[in-house]
Amino acid sequence: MKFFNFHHMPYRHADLDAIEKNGSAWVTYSNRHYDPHKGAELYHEYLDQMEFADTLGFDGVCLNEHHQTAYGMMPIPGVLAGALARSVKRAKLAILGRALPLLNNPLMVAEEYAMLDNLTRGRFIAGFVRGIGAEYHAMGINPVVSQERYAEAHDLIVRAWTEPGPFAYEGRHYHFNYVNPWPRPYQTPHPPIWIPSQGSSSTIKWAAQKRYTYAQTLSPIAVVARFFQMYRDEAEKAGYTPSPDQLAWSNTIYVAETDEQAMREAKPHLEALVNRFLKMPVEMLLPPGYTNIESMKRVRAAKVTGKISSIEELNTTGVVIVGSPNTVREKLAEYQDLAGFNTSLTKTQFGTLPNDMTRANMTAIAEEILPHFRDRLPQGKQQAAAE
Amino acid sequence: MIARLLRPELEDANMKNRIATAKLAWQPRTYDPHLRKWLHRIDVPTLIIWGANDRVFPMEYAYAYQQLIPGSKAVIIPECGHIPQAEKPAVFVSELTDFIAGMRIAA
Repeated sequence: MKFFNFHHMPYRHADLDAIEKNGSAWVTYSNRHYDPHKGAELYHEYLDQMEFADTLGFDGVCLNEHHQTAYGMMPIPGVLAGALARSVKRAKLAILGRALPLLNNPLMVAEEYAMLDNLTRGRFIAGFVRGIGAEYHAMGINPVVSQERYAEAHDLIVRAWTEPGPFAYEGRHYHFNYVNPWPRPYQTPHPPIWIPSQGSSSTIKWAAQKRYTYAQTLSPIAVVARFFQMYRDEAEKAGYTPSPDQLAWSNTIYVAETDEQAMREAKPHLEALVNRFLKMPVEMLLPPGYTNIESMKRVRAAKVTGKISSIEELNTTGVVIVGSPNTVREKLAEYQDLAGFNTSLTKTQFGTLPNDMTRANMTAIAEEILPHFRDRLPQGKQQAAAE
Repeated sequence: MIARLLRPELEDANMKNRIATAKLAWQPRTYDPHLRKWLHRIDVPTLIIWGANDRVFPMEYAYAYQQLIPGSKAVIIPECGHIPQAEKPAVFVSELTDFIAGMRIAA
C-alpha cells in the first residue's frame, strides 16, 4: 500500500464556539477571526510537516483547494505546492485537486500543473474536483452548470497537455483562439490524474472509464467499499480490470501506545474537525443542481458532515482509524481487504491537533504502520478479482 | 430553503424547482443590480401588486418600485405571499380590472 500525507491545513486556532454559534466554519464565518500572525506560523508549521512526511518515507504529500473557510487555508494550493516542489525531495506531490468549475480560465490550471510537473521532474499528481457545494456560494458560480464546466475544463486541459499547440478551442463555457501552453508537462502524456469525490455515481463511472485513480472522501468504510466496487464494475464494463492502486481511500489515522490513550488524545481534535470545521447546513453542502437528484439523495444520506459525531462512532464505522499500532494495523488490513484499495490518503494532522502531537503521530505511523503495508496488496475476493 | 419536507412524495418535484430557480437566479442572486437606474424610463401606466407576506421579496420592494417608476401605483394585498395571482386571484383580478378601467376613464 502507498501512503500519502494528506493535509487539510485547518486554521487550528479557530474559535470553536464562534463557529458553533455561526453554524458553520464555511462562507459566513467571518475572516475577522483570522489572525495573520498565527496563520503565517501555521503555514510554516504545516509545510514543515509535509517535508517531515517526505523524510519519514511517506510515498507522497497531498494538498487540496477550499475557499472562504477555517477548515483549510488553501484557496490557491499551487502556492504551497510551489513551496514544496523543491523541499520535498523524494515523495510525490499531489493537488487533490483544483476545483475546475470555479475557474473562468481553466488553461491556467494546465499551466500551473505543467509547471509543478516540471519543477518536481515528474513527481506531480494532478487532481481535478468540482469543489464542495460551499464553494459555489463562496465563489458565486452557478452550481447548475458545475458538471458541464467541469467536463469541459477537464477536456480542455487534457487536450492542452497532449495536442501540439496552438489550436483553437470553442466550448460552451470556454473559448480560446490559441491553446498553446508553455511549459508542457514533464510526464508523458501528462501527470497522473486523480479524481476525489464524495461518491457521485456519474463521477465514479467517468473516472473508471478514463482509468483515473478514484479517491473517496471522508465516509464510513462500508460506503467506501460500495463505491470502490462500483468503480471496479464500471471498469469491467469498460473492458479492463483495474489495479487496486487506482483506488485511494481518504482517511484519518492516529496512533498512540494504547487504544485508550489514542482515543483520549485524538478525541477533542477529531471531534473539532467533524463537528466544527466540517459542519455546514445541507443547502450549503448541496446547492441545487450541484449533482443529479439521485446522487444528491444518496450523498445526503451517506455523508457524515452535518450530523454530530463522536470519535467512538467515527472509529467504529471506519471513517477513521484510531488506536494502538496493533489495532491500527489490524483495522487497516481489514479495511484494505474489504474495500480493495492500495492507496491511503491519510490525514495525520486533523482539526485542532497541535504540532508536537502531529509529528509524534506521523513518526508512529511511519515506524509502526508503513513498513507492514509496504508490499501488502488487498487480500481475498478483491485480489482474486484482480487476477 | 426548506431542509425537511413535510411531504416526502414531493421531494423530487421540490428539488427540480430548486434547480430551475438556481439556474435562473444564482448569480447575480435573483435580481438585476442595475435595475434601479433603469426603472425611471418606464413611461406606461404601471400597477404594482404585492403580497403583504411575501418572504421572497418583502413588500418594501413594492414601495421602492412605486417611487422609482413615474406615475405608478402600488397595491399591497393582505394575507398574501409571493404569488398574488395564484394565492388571491379574485383580489388580483379586481385590482387589475379597476386599474384598466381607470386608465380608460383617464383616456
